[in-house]
Amino acid sequence: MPRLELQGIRKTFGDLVALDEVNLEVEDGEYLVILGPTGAGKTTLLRVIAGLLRPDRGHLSLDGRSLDRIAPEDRGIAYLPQTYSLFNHLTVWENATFGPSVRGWPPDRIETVGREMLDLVRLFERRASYPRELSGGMQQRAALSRALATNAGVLLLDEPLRALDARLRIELRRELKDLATQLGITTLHVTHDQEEALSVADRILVLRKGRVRQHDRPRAVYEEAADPFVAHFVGEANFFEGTVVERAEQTTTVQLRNGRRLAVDRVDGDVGEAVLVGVKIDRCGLSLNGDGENAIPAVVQRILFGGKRTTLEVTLEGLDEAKVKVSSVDAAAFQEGQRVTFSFPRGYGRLYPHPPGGLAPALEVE
Amino acid sequence: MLGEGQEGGTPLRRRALNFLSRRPVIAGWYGGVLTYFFIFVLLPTLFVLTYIFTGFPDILSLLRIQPGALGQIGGAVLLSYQVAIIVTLVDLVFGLPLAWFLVRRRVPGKSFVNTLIDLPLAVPTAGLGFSVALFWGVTPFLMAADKPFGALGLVSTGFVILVLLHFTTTFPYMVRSLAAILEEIDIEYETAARASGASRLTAARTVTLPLFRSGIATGAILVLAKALSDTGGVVAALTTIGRFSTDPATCTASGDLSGTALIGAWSALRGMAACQDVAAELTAGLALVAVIMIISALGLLAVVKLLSTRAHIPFRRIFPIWERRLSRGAVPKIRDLSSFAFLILAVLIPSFFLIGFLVITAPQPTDFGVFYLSIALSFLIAGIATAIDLALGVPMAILIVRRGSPRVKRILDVLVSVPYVVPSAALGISLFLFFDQLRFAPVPNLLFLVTLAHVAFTFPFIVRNVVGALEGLDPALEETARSLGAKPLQGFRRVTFPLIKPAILAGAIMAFTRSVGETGATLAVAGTAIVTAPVFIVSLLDPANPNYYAAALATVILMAVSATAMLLMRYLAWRAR
Repeated sequence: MPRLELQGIRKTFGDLVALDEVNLEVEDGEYLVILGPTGAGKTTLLRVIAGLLRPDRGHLSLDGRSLDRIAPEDRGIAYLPQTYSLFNHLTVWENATFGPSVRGWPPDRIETVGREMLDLVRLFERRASYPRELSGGMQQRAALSRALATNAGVLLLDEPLRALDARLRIELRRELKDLATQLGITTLHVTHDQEEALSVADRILVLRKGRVRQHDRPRAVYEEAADPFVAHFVGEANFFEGTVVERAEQTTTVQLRNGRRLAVDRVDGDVGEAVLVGVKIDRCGLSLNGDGENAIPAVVQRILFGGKRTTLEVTLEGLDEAKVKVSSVDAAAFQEGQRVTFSFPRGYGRLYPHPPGGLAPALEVE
Repeated sequence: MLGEGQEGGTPLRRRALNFLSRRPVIAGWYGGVLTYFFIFVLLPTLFVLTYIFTGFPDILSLLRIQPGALGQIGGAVLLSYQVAIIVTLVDLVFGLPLAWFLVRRRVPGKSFVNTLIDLPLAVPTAGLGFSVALFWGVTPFLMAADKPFGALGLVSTGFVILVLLHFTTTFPYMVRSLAAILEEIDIEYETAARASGASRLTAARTVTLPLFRSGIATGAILVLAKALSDTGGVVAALTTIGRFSTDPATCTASGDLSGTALIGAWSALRGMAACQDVAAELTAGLALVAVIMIISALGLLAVVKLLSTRAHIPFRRIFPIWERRLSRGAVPKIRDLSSFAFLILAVLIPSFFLIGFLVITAPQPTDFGVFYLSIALSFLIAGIATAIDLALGVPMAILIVRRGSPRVKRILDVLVSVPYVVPSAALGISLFLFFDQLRFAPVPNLLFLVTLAHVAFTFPFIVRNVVGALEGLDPALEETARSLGAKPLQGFRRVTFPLIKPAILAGAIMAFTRSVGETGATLAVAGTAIVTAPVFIVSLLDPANPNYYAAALATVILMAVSATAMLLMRYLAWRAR
């Protein structure tokens, strides 16, 4: 039985549709990451689940029990907002045991749980400190222990790592996932960072403008993006607009506006239909000798060094710009202004119906 | 936190919490608060407006027996406004550099100056009026031998003494509100302007001052309202220099009467046995003054608001050379020094002159029974009023900040501020009329009515303070508390309340001291039948039978209590940080 179930949730603020027909099933113990650009409705979704916002339409249930008329404090869903909302007038200990204490648990049980939770996040030694005396990472952990101590079955984390610096963020996201798995707690983790989402999620829910665009395992979201937006938002993609000219058993051939043809190992769309070919930028390649499948002559415009990997921006002959992301070792062979050949293996191409409003609006982040 | 870990355990307590957290119960509570506010605060405040129509025959009758009354009312209101506007402008001129100095400079002794500025607020205005008049004014009823050392004895006209008095009563408000806003403005703007080549004066004038408009408006409104509404200080000061007298034989008042002085005089006359047969006419006259004062106060409020948002207070043109010259050398020093001189000469010395007087003057025979009773009564009324303020004001603030649509919020916010700008004496008259019409106010209930009046004009202090604190509080805190399992009431008690406690306390102390110091509203509701300390002080200055010693003693006692309360508040606020 799915643990958390949302049916047709809709929420508007005036004219703004924050959530539109959101359906969702989260399995027991699952670590779900809700990914989307700013303003996609991620926080609104969490707040609806927490009971802090009433949806205009739709139903929520937890373990088959309807949540629609249940107050936030009775839902058994712990919510950790972006700012952590640690209670600054209380010590770490009082923060951690806030939930058990307002629920009226017996003192000895509060004692045990407080100790257990603070040990879990390695803050027991700091139990007498006030939140302002803690570092950013410790604050995050203190807030987490407070949420976990309520014994809630579902944990809602709104950008839990946002306020931390890059290095710590990477360490803590792993820790967060392990903790949730260890406690078997169902977690909904909101982020706009696709790398964070890909690395910790059991499944990812991609939201855009209040609508669910894809709900799948990280690898599938990355490699089998449901639409151009997801393909571009999660890991960046190149797109080619064209028309299907041939459908073979395993391959579809698309003719681009410069007359060239691309072949992809997909079977989709009818002959004559306008389509988009999408391919992740790190699945594309450049060569100096004109090799490769789906080869298009190109000129290197800019080389953006990024540490391990380097992104090269090229202009394709008779087409627009494209990007290629390769290891920096391989990128060393190229120079700006150089004539090269752009290519990508036909197995990595994806086919999408051409968006009715044009390509740019379909990819827009806000 | 107290009682951590032991609470919520008993089923009874759980059930009580559950019950109190239920939607209808909460809605009922808020409904009650709103009902009280409308029936006991807002409606009585505005009731006087209708009285102008229902009491029209009485007004005509007043004009028949006192043909000069209309002219007297007009002159009084005009005097009030002249004084208030001059005071506001001068306060601004001297207050701005002082606020600037207090916020932007890092100098030793700053916190001492800060405390010193606030102290006059702790003195009941009746006492202040007396003190100011002793210092500046000619004192015809004081024997030459008793003339305190250092008294200037310069001022003999009502207009001048009122201006001087209101410097004392309003300057702290001006400096406070300017400093509070200045504190909020990021100094980086000014730094950026100066780094781009602007002189100190140009930067302050063109960058900070425009950001500062709302602060100037707030300060100006506070000062105007305060100067327009004070009664006790006005009556005391005018009486002391011999420019205020009532004649029970003709039931008329004379002297350099401002609006509130007229209210004070007629209220006192109305209560006298000799004037019972013209009581209705006097009431009508009072209502007329009240209406004019209320409407013009609201109008003035609107004008100041409009000016502050529309007008470009500082002109746009820049005079680089002149402004650069003014920013350096002697000019800023002279500016700062003159601000301090103003603070000392116009505010501090006149406020505390009374203490010196008390030390040298010979004790006079005094009825200490009445004396202590009046002080006790003042504290009783202030205590009850503050308690009611707290019980209603805090939910009201929550209602304004956390519930309802933005429009409802704005309307409530403005309505709550109405008693803030309406002169408290006018408010008192309105309240009296309202309950008098309800046949609700035979004498034993006067105390009740006075308390209601005090609630009405102190209510905004709590609400404003708590609204400010709640607006600064992240709503996510309460939401988090709820998702952790706290009932709304628990969330308030364990999370919201501890965080806004300093603001509640500050509001409570402001309300309390304001109530203790209030004269006009008490007089307007009860005449001289309810003798609170300020009413007592005013009565001690009566030229027919003056007892300046007791007046000074009572003032100093109230001063000490209020100052202690204020220092306590500062200490608690400091500790909370």
